[in-house]
Amino acid sequence: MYRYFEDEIKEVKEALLNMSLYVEDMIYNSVLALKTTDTDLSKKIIEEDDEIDKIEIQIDEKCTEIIMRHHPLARDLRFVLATLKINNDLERIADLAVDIAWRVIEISRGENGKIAQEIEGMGIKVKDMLRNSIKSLTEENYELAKEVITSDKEIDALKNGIIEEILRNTDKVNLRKNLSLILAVRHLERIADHCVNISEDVIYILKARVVKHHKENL
Amino acid sequence: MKKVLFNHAIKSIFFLNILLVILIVGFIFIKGYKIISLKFLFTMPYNSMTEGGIFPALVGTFLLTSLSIIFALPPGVITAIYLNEYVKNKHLINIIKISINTLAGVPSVVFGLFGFSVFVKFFGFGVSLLSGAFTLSIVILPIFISATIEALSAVPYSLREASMALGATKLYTIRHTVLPAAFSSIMTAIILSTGRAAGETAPILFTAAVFFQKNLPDSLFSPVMALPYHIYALMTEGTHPEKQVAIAYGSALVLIITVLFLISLAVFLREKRRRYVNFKH
Amino acid sequence: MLTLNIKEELNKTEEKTKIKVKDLNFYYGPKQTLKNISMDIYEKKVTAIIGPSGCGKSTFIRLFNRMDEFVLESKSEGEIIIDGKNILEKDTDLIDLRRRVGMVFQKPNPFPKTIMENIAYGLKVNGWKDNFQIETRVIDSLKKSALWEEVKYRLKENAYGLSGGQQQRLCIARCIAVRPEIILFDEPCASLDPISTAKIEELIMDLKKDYTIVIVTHNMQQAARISDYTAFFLMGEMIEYGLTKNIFENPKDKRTEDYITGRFG
Repeated sequence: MYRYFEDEIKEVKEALLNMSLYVEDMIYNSVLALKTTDTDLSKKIIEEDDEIDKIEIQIDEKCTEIIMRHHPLARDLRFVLATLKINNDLERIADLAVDIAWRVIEISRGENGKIAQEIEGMGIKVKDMLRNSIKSLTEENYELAKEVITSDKEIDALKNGIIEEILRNTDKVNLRKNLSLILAVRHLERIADHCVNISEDVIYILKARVVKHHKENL
Repeated sequence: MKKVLFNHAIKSIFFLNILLVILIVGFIFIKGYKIISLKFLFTMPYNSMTEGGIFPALVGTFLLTSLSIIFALPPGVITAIYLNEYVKNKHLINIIKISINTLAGVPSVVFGLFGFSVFVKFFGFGVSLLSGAFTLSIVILPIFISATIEALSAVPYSLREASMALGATKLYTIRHTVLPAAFSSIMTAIILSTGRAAGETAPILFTAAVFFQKNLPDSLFSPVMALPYHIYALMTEGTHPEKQVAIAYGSALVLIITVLFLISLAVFLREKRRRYVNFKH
Repeated sequence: MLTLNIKEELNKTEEKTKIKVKDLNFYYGPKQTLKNISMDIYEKKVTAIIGPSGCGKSTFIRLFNRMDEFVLESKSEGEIIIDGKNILEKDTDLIDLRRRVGMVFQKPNPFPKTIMENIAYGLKVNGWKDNFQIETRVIDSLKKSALWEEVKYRLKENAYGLSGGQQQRLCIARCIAVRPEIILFDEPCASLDPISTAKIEELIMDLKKDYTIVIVTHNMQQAARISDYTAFFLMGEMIEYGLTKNIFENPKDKRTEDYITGRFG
């Protein structure tokens, strides 16, 4: 029976990986759209979210089926439980990418200049965080997961810096636009938080340790 | 307290049984062992049976026994198979089983008279090997059938099921599964029947055995000497008891050893099968 | 635009019916043990039949290869159609039927013969004579039943020397040697330890590719693990039948739910 169980676990892992690659693209595209104020790209991102929702449901169902059929225990049980949460995080990340896309549509006019470039830089960092958190799952790499969790501080600092800068350049004319930019930065930072959640779940799978709210367990 | 008493009672009866067997065998052994030698076994009696051996009686018993087994085997096995495998009516089976058991309990002298009137007189076989073997086969048939039924019903139903589920017919299943599985038990039944047949006196009294014969039997229709009858004859009709009684004890010892040997062989086979095939899966 | 490797076989609806049961009633003496059962069993799927002891599940699958023939005073009504033919009819060729519908029993029941002879038995029943062909088929069956590696040097040994789990796999090998189309399993793991059970279950999953499988089990977890369809029987009635996923995640009938959640009785 174990062979078949392994196969199903592998299937779920692959599905999660595919989903994450897809979500990564959404993140990247959203900051790209922000930089170039490309509303078409934004609309595409918004449409793509439906696809992610479908995958989320599929993975949920698959996990339910695994629990129903195999009654997984120990490491396998942690894997299935964590997968359910990671799945949820990924879906939330996709939603946040969609939110960024909406911000792009709100500020569809004019150039964003240097700020947009900084946001793009932050977006790429966040995207890498997501990649690493999923990589730590597929490669069962504890160190990498730890790295993702610690890099969250860096993202927070980046976020604060960018927001400071936006505020400094804000006047009555560009208030509305800058508010959207600030929100976009906030979305990115939220994505990073979800990446941290994913890494925490990965550590739960690998070490059966709860590091959520207990950074000292790291 | 009651239980302890009961246990003791059972135990003493058990030891009493063993003691009886040892007493009988021992008695015969002490009385008879002196006379036993190869010469005793393999020479003809002479000097009006006061000297010489028991060779013709030994041969006679051997022939009677083996022939009776040969006659009893086919109808016995077939009857047992029919009763155990084919008859579905439980009442009928019970009636037949009771009949068989009753038959097993009939005194053997009655069989002897039956054999005399049917085989010797009615069929005209005369006092002969053939009549004796037929009569003996009727004596052992009921025991043999019961033992074979026992052997067949010890073959688990699941084996028959397995065979049938593979598309085998009933006959094929019996031939290739049931009989091979019951083979050693049936062998045991045969050996036990042999022991019984070898020791019986009454059935051959009127049908096959004679007091003395010059030569070994040369056809199925010639009368034979037989060990049990030989003993009987020596003890009751002997003219020189001082010599003949010793010969009688010697013959009895040979007979009892033969029967004991056959029974031990049966027990041995049964134990061996138990070790080999454990049906209690 | 996005492809995921999640298999959706369970959501497919175009299954091919292999066994069609129509209004089946079965009486054992005056007692009715199966009541009005109708169901379709699909080709190359594992169909599990679950239910408490005495619910008629064994009686039910034993009708598929007509093992009821040996039950005295029994009577069946209705139809069991396998490949278009009602096998409950009197003129059914039982020998041929049992070649097509194999059966593995609750307790391993190898013959007290060698491993080789055990598997060759069904072939010989079907009139195989050529020793080389028989041997080839025996080896093939042993490989398919995942027993070959364990017994390849002891084919001439008595099958009773094998462990319980091995004996059961031997019985499966014996069954698939005659290349049936349907295999019935009557609580095949009831007398086995968990590791042997896992091996048998894996084997059943492997066999699914080539055979239609019906398994009776009182172990619900087992039904959940290996079956595609599950039927729940209670007191001779079929309470619910559907995709295993649906039965175990979202049973429609309260009695089914009570049984699978252990709230029964």
